Amino acid sequence: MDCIERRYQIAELVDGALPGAEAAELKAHIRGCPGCRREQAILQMLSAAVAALPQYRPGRQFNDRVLLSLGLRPVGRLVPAWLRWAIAGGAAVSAAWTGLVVYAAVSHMSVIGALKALQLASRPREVLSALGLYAVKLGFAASDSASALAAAVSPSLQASGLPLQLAIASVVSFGLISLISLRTRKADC
Amino acid sequence: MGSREHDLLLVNRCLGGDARSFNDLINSYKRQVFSLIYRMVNNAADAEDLSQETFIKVYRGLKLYDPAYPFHTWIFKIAHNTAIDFLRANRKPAITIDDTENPLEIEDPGPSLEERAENLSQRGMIEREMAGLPPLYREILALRHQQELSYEEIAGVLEIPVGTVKVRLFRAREMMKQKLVQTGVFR
Repeated sequence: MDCIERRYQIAELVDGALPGAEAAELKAHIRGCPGCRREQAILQMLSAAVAALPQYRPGRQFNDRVLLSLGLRPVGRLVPAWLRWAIAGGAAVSAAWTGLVVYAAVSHMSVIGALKALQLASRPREVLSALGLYAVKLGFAASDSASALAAAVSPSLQASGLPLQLAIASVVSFGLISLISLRTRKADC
Repeated sequence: MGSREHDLLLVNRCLGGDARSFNDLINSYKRQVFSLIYRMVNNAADAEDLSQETFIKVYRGLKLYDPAYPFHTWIFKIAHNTAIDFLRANRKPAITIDDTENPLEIEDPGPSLEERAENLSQRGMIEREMAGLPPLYREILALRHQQELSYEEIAGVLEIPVGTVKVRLFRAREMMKQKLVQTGVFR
């Protein structure tokens, strides 16, 4: 076999596709043949150069376009599990707080207070400042109510059904968030 | 490119009705498919359309996929056939790699800034010379050196004998080598 014929073998050697015995024989030849050594070096450089060329990628909306073409809904970004739990927890706490505030407002607001609120509502310019004051009052009232809750199972609280309402509000909030989260995960395939 | 087991898992999940798994399959192969097709057609907009067409065919043909064969060779085969059909239908002279109307997003392979600066001109010349080869030669070089497919895998993708793969690869490299020696990139 002459050096020209060996060029096919050298290509296979560079590709790592030449069987062991043939590879050993060829390597022995290459060691003593400057022409074949150069051929091997050039092929190695060429292989490395082509391998080093950049990989291209399609546009950013590629996945969405493919999925839409197939009549599938593009897959949104997943909300991490810890974030979903945090949102659900936050919503539950918010619901509990809202329930407390409403309870405090209902249980502490007198008829006169309600009339004043209606009167204020007819004068929008005074509403904002009054609302601020009222919010502070409600905050104190809520704080009192929280203390009452903390004092454990007071009969009046039990009678009002507030714990049950809080539980329902929390479960509904959690359920809604879970449902929304699931809708982003699942799509018809 | 995902592992064979992972690909199979995604395929099965997708067949079971999970669109997210198909989205994951797209993510695993879109760069390779797009790069391969781009090397063949030398045009970013066409490559994008053909890559999209490839994935649509993949999705519609998932039930026909035989798990006895690697998923990546199956998807490359579909990409190859899609690009070949396009080239046959749109016989036109090859254009240069510099497609200013459709700038490509290049995946950074990772060398340092200094290395990149040093290699930039040489890489540009290699890109140009490769873009000047016939599509089938560009394709086989990309399959071998960029996608790192074996001779047997390339034969499976192109549906040709292994001997033909060797000959085509040899000729592609010879042509490329001569050009690069002539231009002084290789001495």
